[in-house]
Amino acid sequence: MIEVQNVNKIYHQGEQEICALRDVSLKIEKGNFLSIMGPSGSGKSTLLHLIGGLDQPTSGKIFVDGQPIHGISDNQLTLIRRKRVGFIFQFFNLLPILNALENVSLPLLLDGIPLSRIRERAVHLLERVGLGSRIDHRPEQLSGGEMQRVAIARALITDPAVLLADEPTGNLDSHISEDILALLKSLNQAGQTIVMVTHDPKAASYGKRVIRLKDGSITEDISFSENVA
Amino acid sequence: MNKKCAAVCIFVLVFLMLPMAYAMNGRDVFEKVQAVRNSKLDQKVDATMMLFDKGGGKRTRTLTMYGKDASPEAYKILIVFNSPADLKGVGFLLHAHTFADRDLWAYFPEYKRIRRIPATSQDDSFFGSDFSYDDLSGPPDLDDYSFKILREEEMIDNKPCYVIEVTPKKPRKYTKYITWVAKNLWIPTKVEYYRDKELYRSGTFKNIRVIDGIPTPFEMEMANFKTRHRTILTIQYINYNTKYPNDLFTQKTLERGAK
Amino acid sequence: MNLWNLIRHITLKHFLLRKTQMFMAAAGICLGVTAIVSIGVVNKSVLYSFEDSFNRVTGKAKLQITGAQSGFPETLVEKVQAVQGVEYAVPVIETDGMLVSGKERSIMILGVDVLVDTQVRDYSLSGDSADVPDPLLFLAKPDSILVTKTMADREGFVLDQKIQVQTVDGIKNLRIRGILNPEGPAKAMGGNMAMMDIYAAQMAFGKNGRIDRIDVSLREGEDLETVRQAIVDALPQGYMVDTPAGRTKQVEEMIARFQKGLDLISYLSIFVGMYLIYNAVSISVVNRRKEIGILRALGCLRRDIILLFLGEILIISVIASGIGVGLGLLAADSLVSAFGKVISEVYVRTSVSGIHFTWFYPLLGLACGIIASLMAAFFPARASSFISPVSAIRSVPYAEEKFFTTKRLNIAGVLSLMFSSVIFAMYKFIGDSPLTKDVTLLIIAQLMVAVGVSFFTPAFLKGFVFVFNRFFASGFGTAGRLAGLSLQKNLIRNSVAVAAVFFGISVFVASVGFTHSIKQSVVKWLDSMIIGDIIVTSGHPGSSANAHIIPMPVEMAEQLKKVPGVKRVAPWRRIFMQYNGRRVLLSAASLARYPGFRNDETHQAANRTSNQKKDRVVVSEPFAAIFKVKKGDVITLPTPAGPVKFDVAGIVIDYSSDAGVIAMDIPTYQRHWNDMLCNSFFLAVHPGANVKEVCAEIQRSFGVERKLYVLSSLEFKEEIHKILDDEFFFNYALNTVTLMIACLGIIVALLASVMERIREIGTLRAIGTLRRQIYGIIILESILMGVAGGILGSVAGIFAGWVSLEGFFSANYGSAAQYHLPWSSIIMILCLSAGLAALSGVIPAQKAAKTNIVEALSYE
Repeated sequence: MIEVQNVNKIYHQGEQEICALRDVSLKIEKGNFLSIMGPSGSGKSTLLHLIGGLDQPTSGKIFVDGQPIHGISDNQLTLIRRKRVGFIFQFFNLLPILNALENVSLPLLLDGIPLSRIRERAVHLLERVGLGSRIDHRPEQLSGGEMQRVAIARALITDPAVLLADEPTGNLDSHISEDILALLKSLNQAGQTIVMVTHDPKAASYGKRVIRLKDGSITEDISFSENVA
Repeated sequence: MNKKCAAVCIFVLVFLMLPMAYAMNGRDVFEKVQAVRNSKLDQKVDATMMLFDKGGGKRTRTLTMYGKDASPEAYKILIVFNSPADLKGVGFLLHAHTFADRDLWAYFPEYKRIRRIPATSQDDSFFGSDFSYDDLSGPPDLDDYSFKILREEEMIDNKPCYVIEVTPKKPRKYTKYITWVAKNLWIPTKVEYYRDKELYRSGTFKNIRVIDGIPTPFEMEMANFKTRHRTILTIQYINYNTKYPNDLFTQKTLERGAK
Repeated sequence: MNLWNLIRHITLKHFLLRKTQMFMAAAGICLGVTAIVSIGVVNKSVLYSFEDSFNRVTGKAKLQITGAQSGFPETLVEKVQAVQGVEYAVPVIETDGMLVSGKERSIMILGVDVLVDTQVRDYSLSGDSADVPDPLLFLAKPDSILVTKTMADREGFVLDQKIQVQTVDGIKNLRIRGILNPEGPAKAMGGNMAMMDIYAAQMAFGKNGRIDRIDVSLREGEDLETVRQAIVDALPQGYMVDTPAGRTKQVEEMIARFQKGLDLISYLSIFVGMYLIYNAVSISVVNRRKEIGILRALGCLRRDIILLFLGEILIISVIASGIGVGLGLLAADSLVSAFGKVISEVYVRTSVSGIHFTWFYPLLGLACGIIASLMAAFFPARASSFISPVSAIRSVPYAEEKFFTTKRLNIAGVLSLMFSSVIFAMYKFIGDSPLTKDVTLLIIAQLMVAVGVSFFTPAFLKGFVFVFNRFFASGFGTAGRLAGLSLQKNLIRNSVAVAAVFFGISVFVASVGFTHSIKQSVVKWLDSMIIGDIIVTSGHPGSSANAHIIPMPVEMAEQLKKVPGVKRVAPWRRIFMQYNGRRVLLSAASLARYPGFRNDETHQAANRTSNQKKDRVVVSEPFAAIFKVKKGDVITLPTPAGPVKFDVAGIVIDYSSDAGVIAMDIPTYQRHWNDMLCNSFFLAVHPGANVKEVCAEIQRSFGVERKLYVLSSLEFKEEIHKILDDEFFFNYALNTVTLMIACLGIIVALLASVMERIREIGTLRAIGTLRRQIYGIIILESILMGVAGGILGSVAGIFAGWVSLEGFFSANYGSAAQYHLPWSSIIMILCLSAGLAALSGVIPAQKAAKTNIVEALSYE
């Protein structure tokens, strides 16, 4: 379970103060699939980054599975990212120098586990995202959809408490987007908590719950768990 | 010590000898040898020295040697080269104050200069020959050595010999000598020089004649096994009844070429 | 070990993918290490060879007695022999001869009393160590000489062959009476020696009754110092009684000053290498910002990021330093004989046949290379760990780090410059203190100047771009304006590249300026010393500057005067002597040569007769500094006839020996030293006489009896300049190394700075920039950075070079040299910098121009 309590986030851009989030509070149940929507600059990515421990809130509290991720040291935060959170990005953010298998294994490699012991699990995950035949390929040899599948596999390898997706389909065409969203949905059905930022209502509809942000505040919060087939 | 007697050939009358003493020890034998050598301190010798190098090259030089019993001091020796022309007048003077303490000088006419040779060079080569300065000097001090008879009755040149091991008490170039001393003649007929275990040099003394009652080898050969170089010294003329005056053995005479 | 995982899965892949950049960074360190190792090993080898030769020639001697170079009476041997505790005192002649045939090689002639000498030295003429067929003949004939097997093989000498050797009395015919096997003293000087009996040597070298040295062995159980003092007391003043180790040490000290200069440059080069690494890592951090962001997002600790970069650098530096060590040893091997030659010519005879390997310098090189690289990499690596994962992964365009504001940089720059000024001031004004004795601080100060100036790079670049935009940009059209704009907008980032260029160039300009100034000062001085129209010496001009010459009898002057056309003949005698425990040069010619002493000779002669004044000498600056002598002081010099007092009439510039020079008029010298030899004659010809013909005539009249070098003063100067070039060869070689490092720096910095902007260029293409214009912009930008760095670097380099000259040179040599701007080198390096910059722009420009616009824009 993720709990966000009265979070504010203020950026400094030169002399200017930009308030990205204003007093946001939110609870995300385990096994949920939350979509965060809103226009550009509404603070949706910022919220995701705070939940994922990529950044620290200016004020307020955030708990992942009851564990605070605000006001802790960079090292502790980094370890939480490594072990508790999986990230998917709009631009995939794979390391171009590594092949699919290595990219997937990276979080565990960072944990000091030798590749030989990760391999089986990584291959399994790549098969699960439908890339069993592409494990030796480098990012430049993969299509956008394939890269995003690799990214999903990478996010899953640590068995994270929550999978955070930042516009996962923002850079993909529509039918590939549907595949990716279907994959995410199936993961959710298997019990994976997912938080996804998107500005695409169609993408949002794959989730169980949608919140809308505007100027750093939540303006709408809809759950449609009952219509899930 | 044999090593010494080897040298310039000199020899003494023998007490033609009571075939004595199987009861002799090494030192006793050398006392006899010493007596023979002492008897030939007064002498004049004309000799030829032939040097053979390992390539078969041969050089010949002639020299005259004068000796004098210098009691109460020990002895004096003057050697002058006569030929070849390059060496004519080169001389060598030795004053033995005692049998263990000597002064040596050399003279080179082209430099007109007398030069001292350090006493510690005693075992060094006598001017490129295989003989050492000591070989061409008089008898040593027997107290500086210890002696041990190894065998008897060994025949060299049909002469029965004592085979004696001689060991210097002070460190010298050669760590020991094996000497074959002819019984009854009391002169060495062969000497082997060792450095540690290694045979370094070997001298043989042949053509022994008795001159004025002193057994004298007329041909002395010294071979160096290390350099494969060999020197043969042959006596042309020898006279033991010389009794030269002390004047002959001075640096002045040396500069004049013994004239 | 997650570090191992990082290195294995990321570092090694990078190595494979970014070969050029890695290679460049590694090359800098590699060259630096090469310089350190080769210089170190060469130095060590020369010293070792010298020591070895020295020990071989010394043998078992525990003390050595030396006097002035002109020799001393052999009767002293007996005095020494009589001293209590002395076992053997053996006379030695150590002199120079020159083979007249073949390559006219100068050889060392060791004259010893062969009858006694075996007591002191390890050889024998009848045993294994020599093939002397007839030692008696060798002793009996004064023309006997023994040569080493090495020399016999080289010159094709055989036993009994007659050889001609140039000596004081002209050419002598000597006969080879034996060949020395390469052991004991015969191995000294790389076998470039011959042995004679001491009396034969005296006759052949005109040293009748005189010897150069007495070697003394001690009786067992005698105390060295007691015996030494006893000998000192037994001898007249002016003789040195020293242990062989003490003499070696003197020579080491002498050479050390020469070597220090080289060390300085070799450490500078590693510092430049460091800067390259710093730069390469900074650039790599910028390029891999995104990768770092991803790693951080995925849970990579800051510490691991730092370790990742340090690990990469560790691997690179280990390999680069390893290669550097190898190259250094190779270079040392090929340089060592040339270096030995220089040392021989300038300082003391030595002959180095190969390098003397010790582990010290290879290990030092490795350590320096690795530690320097890690230190250099640490700051950018640390900075990289503060990259925010959010901004990195969102592909936000490069954001300038806020920390490095121009203001802060300027403050840092001022502080470093102030720090170095304080140090310089200390050297300049405090003078003799333990702190200033060592040049380390000075080197640090110099580096601080470079670092300090590099802090001003952004400010300088700002001004530079302003000037460019204002006055030149329009001349280059659109490309010019855009290039100017782009430089202005990315000031800090471009400053890093410019600083790299600056740094390499400043070090190069500093070292070139330093070398050039010293050389120019020496050249000017030398030219002023060479008077007259013709110079006659008996040795090659190369050796005439120094001791390895066979002097000529001074009477030759009279004969020379008789040669038609000759107007005046001035002899010049130079010998080394001991003064207060140091070897100084005594130069006897005419004081009128020194500025301010014109016509002093006659003036002084008048003075002497009227006032019975003391004779006058002048001393060189180093001498004055070392012995604390001022103008007007009285110094006491040991002469063969005992100590004599001289007035110091002035302090002059004389570079002929850095140990110090005492100069006097030659009649003064002859009166006190009773030495009627001289090293060279300076001839003035009658107006209108043909110099060439006079030279030829001198050769005709004297060439038979002695080998002469008769040169017009112009030719002589040329020869001397050639030798100076040889002497500075190592400085040049090192300058080349710093130049290469500087070039690498320029290429690495500019290449990287353009490469990282491919995306930006894509944008330019998208909005309609022509390919040609892209080329123009990139290359122009690159050139501008090259020129900016070049100008800044030259200015800092000139300053640093001047400071080295004032501080380092004066501190070490005690003599001043005027700073000469190395114009040609500065212009060359500026052109080279611009050229290399243009070249570094070409590849990225090509790549950029060909970039698919869509790809450049879409993919990070």
